[in-house]
Amino acid sequence: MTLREGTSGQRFIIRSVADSPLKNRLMTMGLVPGTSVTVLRSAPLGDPMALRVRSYHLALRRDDAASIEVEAIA
Amino acid sequence: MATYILGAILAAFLFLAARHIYRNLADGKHDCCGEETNCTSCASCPHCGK
Amino acid sequence: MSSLAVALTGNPNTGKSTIFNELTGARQKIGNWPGVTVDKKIGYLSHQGRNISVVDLPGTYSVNARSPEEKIVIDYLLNEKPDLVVDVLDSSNLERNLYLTIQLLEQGIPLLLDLNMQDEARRHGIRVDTEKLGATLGMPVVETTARSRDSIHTLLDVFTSTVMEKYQPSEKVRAHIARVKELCESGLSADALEEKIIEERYAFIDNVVAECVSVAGVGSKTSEKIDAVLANGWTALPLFLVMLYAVFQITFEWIGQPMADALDDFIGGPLTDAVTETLESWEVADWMQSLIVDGVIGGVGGVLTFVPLIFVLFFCLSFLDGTGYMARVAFITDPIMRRVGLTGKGVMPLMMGFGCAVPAIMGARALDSEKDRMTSILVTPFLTCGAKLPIMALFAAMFFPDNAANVVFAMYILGVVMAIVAAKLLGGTVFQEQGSTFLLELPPYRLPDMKTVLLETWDKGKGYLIKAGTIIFAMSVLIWFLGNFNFGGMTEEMNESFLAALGTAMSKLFIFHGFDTWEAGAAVITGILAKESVVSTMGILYGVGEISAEAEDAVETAATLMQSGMASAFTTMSAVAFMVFSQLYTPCVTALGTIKKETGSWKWMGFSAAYMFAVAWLVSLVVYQGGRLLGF
Repeated sequence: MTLREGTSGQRFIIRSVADSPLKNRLMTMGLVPGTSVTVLRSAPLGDPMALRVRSYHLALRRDDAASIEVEAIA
Repeated sequence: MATYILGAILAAFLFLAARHIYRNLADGKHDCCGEETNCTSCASCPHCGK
Repeated sequence: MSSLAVALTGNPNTGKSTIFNELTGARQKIGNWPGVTVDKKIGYLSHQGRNISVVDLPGTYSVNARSPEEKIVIDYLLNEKPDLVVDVLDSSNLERNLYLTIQLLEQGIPLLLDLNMQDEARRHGIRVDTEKLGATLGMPVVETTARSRDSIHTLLDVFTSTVMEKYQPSEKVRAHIARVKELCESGLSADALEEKIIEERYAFIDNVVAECVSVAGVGSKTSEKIDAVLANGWTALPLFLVMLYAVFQITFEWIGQPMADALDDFIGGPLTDAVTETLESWEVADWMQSLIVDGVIGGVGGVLTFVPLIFVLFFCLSFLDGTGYMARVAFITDPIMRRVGLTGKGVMPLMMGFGCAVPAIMGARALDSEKDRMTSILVTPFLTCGAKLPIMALFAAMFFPDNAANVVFAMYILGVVMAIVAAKLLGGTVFQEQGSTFLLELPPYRLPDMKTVLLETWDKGKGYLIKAGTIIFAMSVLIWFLGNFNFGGMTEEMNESFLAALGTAMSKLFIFHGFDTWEAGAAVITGILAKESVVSTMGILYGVGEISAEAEDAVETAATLMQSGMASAFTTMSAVAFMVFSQLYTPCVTALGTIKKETGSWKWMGFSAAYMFAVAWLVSLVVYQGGRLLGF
């Protein structure tokens, strides 16, 4: 699945980041394969979403999150 | 007499003001809100807020 | 002893600016980096007999030379070779902060690592082993809590005592650099190579963090608790409005307005009286008395009256900004902004538009797509900038004395709504659809550093003072001249002056708006040169300052004003129409010049001037006629 479908409170491990104009910036911000991310909450109307990644918080639109392949962890 | 002195002072101030405005125009500068932002957080900064 | 050049670098939101402000206080100079309009802030101080210059480099997450700020940082460090490069790190967020560190180390730049916000990290249950971190990287490390005086002193001691030549990158860092070099020579494609290197860097960081950082317990989750209320799906937007409303109450009701009233009383009363008496006693010619009292004091004084409002408003916005709330505003408004074809990040330049449209227009550069940028540039001037604030405050106080703050708030909201509507229309018609993105750090909530907030308030507010002393002063003299002269020379009857002729011509446009007086027409014309001029024109033409002088307090001021020429020139409804028109019409020449510069085209500048005038004309017509139909 991709991070796009993530709902509040879920935790994931990043598997891969697909090519997109944003790819480089996403990776620079620490979203590299193997990193764990937690979905914290969504803005009004469900998008964008707030994530906890590498001990900080990052906001991201769901369309952009679609390029991040993840695997859910308990 | 006082009228002339005041007139001269006003004229001097006007000249300084006009020079300031002219220099702003010539250099493409502006007075509003400092030269740029003095951002305390990235969010507020037009340059690094990305 | 020789002077010491120090450069501060680091991620955004690490307290770097706070450290800079605490170090240098007001002894800072703001210039531009060559070729770009990014702030170059340099501060000077001396410690233990050494002169120290400190450069605050732009906060960046990395140095890829892709964005102008990142290029500035790396170019400066490589070319200028400062004596000491301080890498300010947020101790509670080392994982991401170390990315910039390792990138700089790869470039062979020795760093003094400043583990900032130690107190905050401890509250989160995060312990960083300072010595181990230093040994692991081979670089000197110092701990600070940005706001404590002791920290700043320690930092200065370190500045003067550290000899960077003594430090060599550790074995671990050298091994990492070797691996990166190996990757570079492996013949991978540019994109693949960059990815590999980023992964390599994070692998290195994970390793360092595992060795030097221990996380005990869950720690404090204050920011998350606040966000659960301020940045969730339901309460966030209403609370944002409440927050804005509170800012306006503080500015226009509780703190700013009483100060403005007091200043107004002083300028209109004791000051005007004293000047008039002095001029009388000096036997100054009548025309010169009129020029000084009606022209300069009426015009410049009328604008200066609003200085307290401007400073209080800027203080509130800077304070909110320092708390980290503005990033949440971008987050929660993105759903709305996206639907009108902008992005939540566009809210930040827009909020700057409450100060002045000029930096807001330039700030639109930070937006990712060309369409976002152009739309933002064209709609920003609808907002109520600091120069329009006096117009709103003056009319609201005069025609709605019991409800001034609410009326001003309504005008601000009108500006925002018009900006959003215009963005939607422009986005749908003028610019074709392009993808836009949204990637933003939500920094932890913090109590802002007061020194930083005050410096920022002063930095933004002083422009208003400079303008009052220069362009408004010059305009006031010009308006006075145009209002007192015609082709026959000086005239007693203002109605026959040059200004009356110009204003009359302009006022023909407003015969259905209820404010077709030549005075209003003249104010509209002068307002294009600088929006404050609307108020100074009114001040000169109606002698607002003199009349308000007789009053003791705000209510009485309003009451006396009601009898003045200005009050009888407007009905309540036509006053509203005039406020609406002033709120929305053609930006001032400085803003137009900036639009020309930023869009690179006269066409867009002309478009902006024309469409905003048309929108203002139409909306205020609808408001006036609609209001009359409803029986107001």
